[in-house]
This record gives sequence, C-alpha cells and structure tokens, in this order.
Amino acid sequence: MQYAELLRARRALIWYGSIFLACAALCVALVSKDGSLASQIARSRTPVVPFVAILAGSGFGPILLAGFMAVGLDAEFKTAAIAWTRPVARLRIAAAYVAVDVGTLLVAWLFTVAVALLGIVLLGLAPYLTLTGAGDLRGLLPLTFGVALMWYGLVVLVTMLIPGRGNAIVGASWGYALFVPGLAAAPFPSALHQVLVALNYLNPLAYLSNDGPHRRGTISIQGDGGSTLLGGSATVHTLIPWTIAVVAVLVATRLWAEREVPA
Amino acid sequence: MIAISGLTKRYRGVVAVDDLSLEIPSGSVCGLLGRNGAGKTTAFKCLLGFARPDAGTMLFDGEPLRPQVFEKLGYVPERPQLYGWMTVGEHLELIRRSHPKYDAARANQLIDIFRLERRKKAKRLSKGQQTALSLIVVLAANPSLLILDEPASGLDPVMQRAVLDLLIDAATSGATILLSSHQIGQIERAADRVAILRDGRLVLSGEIDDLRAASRIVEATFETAIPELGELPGVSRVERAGTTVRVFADGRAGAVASRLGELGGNGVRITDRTLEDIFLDAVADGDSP
Repeated sequence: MQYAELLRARRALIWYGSIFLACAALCVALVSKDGSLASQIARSRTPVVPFVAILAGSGFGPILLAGFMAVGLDAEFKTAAIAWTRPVARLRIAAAYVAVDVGTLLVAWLFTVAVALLGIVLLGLAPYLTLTGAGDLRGLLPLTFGVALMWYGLVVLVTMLIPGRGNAIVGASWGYALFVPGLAAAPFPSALHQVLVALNYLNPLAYLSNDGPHRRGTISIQGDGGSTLLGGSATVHTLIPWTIAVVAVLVATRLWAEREVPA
Repeated sequence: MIAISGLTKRYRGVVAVDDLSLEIPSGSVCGLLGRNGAGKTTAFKCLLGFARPDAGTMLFDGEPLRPQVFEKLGYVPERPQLYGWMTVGEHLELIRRSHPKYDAARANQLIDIFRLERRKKAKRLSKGQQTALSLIVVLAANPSLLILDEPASGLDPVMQRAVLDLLIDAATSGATILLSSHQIGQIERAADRVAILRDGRLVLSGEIDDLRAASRIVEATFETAIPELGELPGVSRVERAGTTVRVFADGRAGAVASRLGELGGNGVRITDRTLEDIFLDAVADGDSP
C-alpha cells in the first residue's frame, strides 16, 4: 500500500547514505593524514573514545535528513491526481506517509552510528572505545531521536500551514536553527532574551548542544556571559521534543488530509 | 452515472463555479466546454474532493465521494501530475498495488500504443509522453467513471487520435466520461453530449444532436454590401464577413432563408450548426447582431 512512500524513503536513504559515506571517507582520510590518530590518542592523558559521544554526534544525521523528508507531504499536493485518487482515506495516506518517514529517519540514524563505528575501527581507535557514561545512554537515545522527530514534525507542520512553499520553508528552518542559539546568547534586554530562549525549545541544535554527553546532567549550558540556552532538567529536555513531535505530526497529518489542493 | 446538483465554489469571494447542475448518464461522454477561467478545472477539483465546494452535492453511481469511489473513478489532470523520480514501470506498480481492478494486460497494451519505456523516469519523458502516462495509469485501473481535464493536450495528432479512440472504446464498454478540452473537434468526435460553462455558470447543456437540431445556420452572399436585415424572427446571432452573412436561426430557418432571398441574397442555404458554432454562441457576451 505504501509503495510510493517506500520508494521515496529508499531514494532518500540512498542519497543520504552516499553523501554521508563520502563525507566519512573524507574525514577518515584527513584525520589519518598526519600519522596515526590512534597513537596520538594513546599518548593522550585520557585515551578514550566515548560511545555516547558517537551516539550524540550521529544525531545530527537524522536531523539533517528530517528537514528534507518533511517537505514530502507538501510536495504530494503536486501529485494529487495520483496520490489522492487512491481508494484509501486521505488521513490514512498521510499517516502511512509519516510512519514511513519516521522509519526512514530511524534507519538513517542507525546507519550513521554504524558508519561512525566503522570509522573508529578503520582509524584503529576501537581499543579506546568506551562505554564510560553508559548511564547517559538511557537519556541520550530517546533525546537524540526525539529531537530529529521534533524537527521533522515542526517542518511538516509549517509546510501544512503555508502549503506549496516546502523548499523555502526548509531553507528558512535552517536559518532559524543556526541563528536562534546565537541570538539567545546575545545581550538582549531580558524580555527579548526570554523569547529567544523559548524559541530554542523548538530548535534541535539547541537540545544536542545543550544535552550532549559532556554536558548532560549539568542542566544547561553556561555560556561566556552566563546565559542559559535551555532551562529545565535533562528529563524535561527529553520529554519536550517528543511532545512537540507528536503534537506537530498529528496536527500536520490532520491538516494535510483536510486541505484543498493549492490553486 | 455522475450527478452534480447545485455545485458552487467561491475563492476569496469570487464565484468560480455557480450553482452547477449536470447529469451524465452511464455510458455517456459529456464534453465540458468553456473559455479559460470558466470554472471547468474548479468543477473537476470539487468533484474529486481536491477542493471543498461551498454548496452542492455530487453523486457517483448514486454514491457521494468517499475513498472507495476511487476504485471506479479515474482522473486525468490538465497537467501531468506524476512522480518525476519514479519510472513508468513504478507508476504502474503503484496503481497495481492500490487499485483492485488493475488490468496488467491492458496496461501493457497501452504502454505499447504510446511507446513508453518502462524503465524511463517520468521526469525524462516528453510532455506528450507524460500526458500519455497519466492516461495509462488511469485507464489501467479500469475505471467506470472518468474525469479528464484536457487529456490530449501536448500530444501529437496521431496520439490525440489514439486517446480519443481509447475514450470512445471506454464509453462503448459502459464507462461514464466527463471530458474537457479546448479542441472542440475532439469533443465533437468523442462526446454525445455537451455542457458549456461561462463565468462559472452552466449556460447550455444537452445532447449534441439535439442542440444542433434546435438551431441552424442560414448563409447568403450579396452582390454588393449586405443590406439592412431588419427584424428577423428567432435569430440569435448574425455574422457578417464581406458580402456574406451567416444568420443563426432558432427553429425558423426557412423563414429567415426566404427573407434573405427577398433582400437579394444569392445562394441562400441552410446548414447545420457545428459544435464550435454552438459553443461560440453560448459563450458570447450577449452582444446582439
């Protein structure tokens, strides 16, 4: 039933995988250029490669992919003659679409982790891989994927509110993700600062930088000026993106099913 | 059978379709005609659930539009709406998986007729080929109700003929077809009835033969200038070109012919109206002769 959706997911994964593999290969080549990285790490005071760091770093992969996948539903308006004339309720079509997208993001994340681990092995760093901080895994796993889902849900929702502008919305969303953290750290008046901080709760990069393995448990980033990027506990930080993701996806799915094809 | 009653659709206060009522019996091909912006595509969108009508009901073989209706209802849009990144074969597979009445043999036959390559991506097809693929994915699902918005646009004359033949075949097999086209010759060839929209309103509808019979053309040529014709009974329109006059008479063509003869007209003859004449008459802005 989800034939078109699955083909689209396969296509997205092939693109993502190819680009990511190319980047990973480039990184491995650059890192091993000046002698063995493994021997450099072995000589360091703390010769460890924490697995949690790899896990958190890999979370950026599905976030990147989420932005691109999220315009898919909006693009379906352009193929309504095929997509909407299947003998299936439109809400069900949208739900299946989102389900396939979520599965695709999960596969992309696992793939990213796998490639990162492969890179570790190729660089001879496998002996230094450690599960130190393994307790953080319980929090990091749902946080990392939840943040990607939140980003997917938010972009889908905005494309449903402003239909027919999917690509522009994705472009603008990256501007938002990259600049809002910086603005939140700037010395604006208190009220504006609070607004900017609040906006960061919708920003995936804020969560990953806030709750990365090196900072997890410290609750918030203390910048140079002592500003706080995200307030609240690590548990709250995990719950917020999941809540936003679920609400955004549900609303967007309903909107898609009820919306008219733009003229 | 497709039954439309009181269909009205407004966009930001502008009435795109105004109280449209139309009934297309089973096995009939109805040509929907109108100038650009007359409301044809909007009416189609409402029928398919792509746009929400402000008023009116639409029934397909007695059923209101619901997902299951699409098992027997096919739609070919004005511009092909295909997945550019999918191949021809993948489009057919999509239809096979989603439409229970998919006919693989028919799909293969249509692929051969239009000479499409299964492995070619839709975005690599020419516009005409994309139009053909849009038609193939619909016809392969064996629909008994068809809505086609300019289905032959972008096709070469040979392919246009093939498309019309397919539609006529489908209607002969009992399919109900609602078809719009700016090429009146296509409608004339394929349709047995016609509905004409002007500014969103239905201004004329009926069987083409009946519409032709209801009004005829009296044509005459004068030696010098065309004289003042005076009051002619039952005349809807008069066209003058040089010394030739064409009078569109509603039912009293004989009387009009006699009058033109009395005025010195040569070679006075009465001819049937073409569908183009009927259309132009219907969409004229009411300017009198």
